Amino acid sequence: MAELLTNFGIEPKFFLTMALGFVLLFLILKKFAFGPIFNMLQARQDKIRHDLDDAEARRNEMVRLQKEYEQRLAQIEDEARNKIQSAVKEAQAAREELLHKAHDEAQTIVARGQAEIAREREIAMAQMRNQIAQLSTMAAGRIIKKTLDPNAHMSLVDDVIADIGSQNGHSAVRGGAGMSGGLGTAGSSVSGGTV
Amino acid sequence: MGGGDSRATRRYARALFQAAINGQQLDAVAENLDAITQATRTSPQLMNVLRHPRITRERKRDLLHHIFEGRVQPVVENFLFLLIEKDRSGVIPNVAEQFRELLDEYRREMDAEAISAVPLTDSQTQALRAQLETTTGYKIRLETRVDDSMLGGLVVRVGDKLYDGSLATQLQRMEEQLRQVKVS
Repeated sequence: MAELLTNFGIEPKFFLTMALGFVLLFLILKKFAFGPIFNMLQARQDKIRHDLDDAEARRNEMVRLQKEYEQRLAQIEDEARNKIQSAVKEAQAAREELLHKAHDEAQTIVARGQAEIAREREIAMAQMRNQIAQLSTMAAGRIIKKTLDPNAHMSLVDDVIADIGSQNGHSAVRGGAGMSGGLGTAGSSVSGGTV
Repeated sequence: MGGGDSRATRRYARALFQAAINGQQLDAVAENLDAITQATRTSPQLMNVLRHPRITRERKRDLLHHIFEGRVQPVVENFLFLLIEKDRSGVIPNVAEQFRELLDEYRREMDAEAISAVPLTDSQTQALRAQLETTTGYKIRLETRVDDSMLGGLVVRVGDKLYDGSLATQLQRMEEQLRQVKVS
C-alpha cells in the first residue's frame, strides 16, 4: 500500500494525515453542518415545490377566471343583444301606436268635420224653412187681407160665434176659408166660484 | 203682496160685501171703492202716507175723513177706518178688485172682450153675447175691439178662457207647421 502510494509520488504519512483530517472534517461536518444544510436544501426544495404548486394554482385560477370572463362577456353580449332587440320591438310598438293614434285622430277630425257640415246644413235648412214659412204666411196674410170681402168677414165671425156654443171652450173651433182654427184656454179653466 | 195679505184681502172684501148687501148699497159701495182705488192710483203719496209706519192711525183717519167725507157711503168710510185700525190700509186697491169679483159672482155677471178684424155688426154682437151667456151661465158685459192684425175671424176672452178663431192665429199655426216640415 505504502509502496503503491510512493509510486504515485504520495507520501504515506501525508496521505494518512490527510485521510485522518478528512475523516475528522467529515465527522465534524456531519455532526454540525450536514443537518442544517440538508434541512436548508429540503426547505429550499419544499419552497420551490410550493412555489411551483402556487404558480400552477395561479395558472389554473387564471384559466378559470379567463373562462369566467369569457362567459361573462358572452352573457353581456347576450344581454346587450336582448336589450337591443327589445328596444327595437318597443320602437316598433311605439311607431305602430303613433300610426294608430294618428289614424284615429284623422278619423275623429274627419267625423267632426262631417258632423259640423251636417250641423251647418241643418241650420241652413232650418233657416230656409223658417224663411219660407214666414214668407208664405206673410203672402197668405196679404192675400187674405185683399180678398176677404165684408161677406166673408161676416161669415167667418158667424162661424166662430156658432162654434163657441158648440164646443164649450175646450175643443177646436173651425174657422172659415177652409182652414182649421183652434181654441185654447188662457190659464186655468173657469170655475164658478172664482168668477 | 204675500199670501197672508191676499187671505186678509178676501176676508175684508167679503165682510164689506156682506155689509153692503145688508144695506142694499152694492152699486154705491162698488163705485166708492173704484173711486178710492182711482185716487190711490193717481196720487201714490196717499198710499205712502197710509202705509207709513211712523204716521199715527189718528192722522191717517183724519186724512181719509178729510178726503172722503160725504163722498163715500158711511159703510165704506167705516171700512177704511177699520183697515187703518188693523194696519191693513195697503190692501185697499185689492179689496176693490175683490169686491168687484164678489159683486159679479153675486149678480152672475162677467166681463168679456171680443177682438175682430172688422167691426162686428149689432146682430153679431148680440148673437155673441147670447152665445157666451148660454155657455157660461153668466150675464155678459161685452166689449168689442177692432184689431186688423187679426186678419179675420174673432178672438173672445171671457173670464180666464180664450176662444181664438182668428185667421192670424191660424196662419201662425200654419207657419209653425211649415217650420217643422222635414226636408231631406
